[in-house]
Amino acid sequence: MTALEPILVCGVGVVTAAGVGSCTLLDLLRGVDVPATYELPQLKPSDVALPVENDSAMSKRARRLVHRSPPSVIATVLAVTEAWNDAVPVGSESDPGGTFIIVAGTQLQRTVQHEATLAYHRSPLEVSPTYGLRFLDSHYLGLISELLPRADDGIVIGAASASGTVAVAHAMRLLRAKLCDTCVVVAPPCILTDVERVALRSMGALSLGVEPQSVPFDERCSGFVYGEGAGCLILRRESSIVAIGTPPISLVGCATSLHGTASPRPSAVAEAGVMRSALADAHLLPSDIALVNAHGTASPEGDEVELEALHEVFGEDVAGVPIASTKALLGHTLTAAGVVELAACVLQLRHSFVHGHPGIEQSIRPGWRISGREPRPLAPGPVLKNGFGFGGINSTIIMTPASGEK
Amino acid sequence: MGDVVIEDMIRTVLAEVAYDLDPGTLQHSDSFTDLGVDSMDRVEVVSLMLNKLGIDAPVREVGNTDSIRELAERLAERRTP
Repeated sequence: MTALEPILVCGVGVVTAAGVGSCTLLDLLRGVDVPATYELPQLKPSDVALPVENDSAMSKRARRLVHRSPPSVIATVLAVTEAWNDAVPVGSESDPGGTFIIVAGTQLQRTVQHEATLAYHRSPLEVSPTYGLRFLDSHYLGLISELLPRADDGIVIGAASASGTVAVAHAMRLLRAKLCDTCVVVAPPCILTDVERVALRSMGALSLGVEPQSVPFDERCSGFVYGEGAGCLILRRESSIVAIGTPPISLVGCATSLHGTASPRPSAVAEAGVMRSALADAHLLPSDIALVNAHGTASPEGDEVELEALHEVFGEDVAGVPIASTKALLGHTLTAAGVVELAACVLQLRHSFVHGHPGIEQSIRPGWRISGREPRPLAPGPVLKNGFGFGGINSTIIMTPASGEK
Repeated sequence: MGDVVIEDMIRTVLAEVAYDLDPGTLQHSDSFTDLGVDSMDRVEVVSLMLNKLGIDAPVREVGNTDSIRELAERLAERRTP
């Protein structure tokens, strides 16, 4: 059996604590410019005055769509605009084939909902009628389809913290089945209100520190540190591409699974299983993997279980495999994590390095190649990316530097 | 408060709500349709005006008006003296 046709990552767009755009994320990954926060910059509608060289009609639509919109919508529009301009050759507005939008994540309007509830308790008259549109996550489908020159179909996919990687897995399946030619995977920021933060803290998931540092795989880790980010990936089948400028990154394997629990509890057996399924899907062996971009939230149980699962899959060779969690730099961007961290993998492959874990002091696996404080050069090769979520959700995506290269 | 004051208030609110409208060029007789103000924006303007004027009435009861003047008249009728 031969491997399935690779899916090319044609465009990448991100907004993170580092700022707007892939360049700012690249600086953060390189350790050049590490912000003191994991939260998004204060975005205003006027931030969407970016020059969009090859699509002034799209840039006009972007400005109109962010009018009176919350920062989460502004971040999403900026990420989609960047990815689209990265993917579409200059001068051509339209896309040749069918375009499918996948919005990754649910409960993407918590701050808007919270404000509407507070307004309602003051007086029902204060509830804005537009809340009737905005409280639904599918509002993003309408928004992005109006922004893009072409959009034929779309869905919202929710899978807790695995939303981004699960959405990318389903995008790969849609593209492989030729149900579309372009898949736009969009992860709006999942901005929490104090209500969710209190609950996550009391259930022991969120780190308790006052200004905690995100330290995955460190002895001091005590729960995830909340982060905010938005990302967008434009995916296409290799055969549908005429010409692309930047060296292509391909998605060659994916797998998703449930392990039958309503609890937050991870399962080493299920995690090892999903990684093996993704490797089989990619026709790769564990020894082919050049880098593991872990789910690694800095939850003591979650980190331990993921390393056990990696040990299970890679055997004794696991100690030689570079492992990094981008949450060490961005915190846990929740439903957006998979997309934002896959974007970080693309940037690291394009520039042949693996980012550091600036806060790490004592690795929970001394002797393993878990990232130290500084970034290191890395020979490009296949990257295995994990995404796990509450409710027993497991997913793995495998990315390679260029089609055919292993 | 006369209709003229309400008309000015509507003009300010409309310029905030609708995208790319210059309040300086708005005429009280302008049709919302001609100005390109969509139905969601109209509802939002009515809702904000009811709130500003302290009129406790559902948006739908103010009805579907198509100009600043017409909306001001409806709102003035609704105000309790």
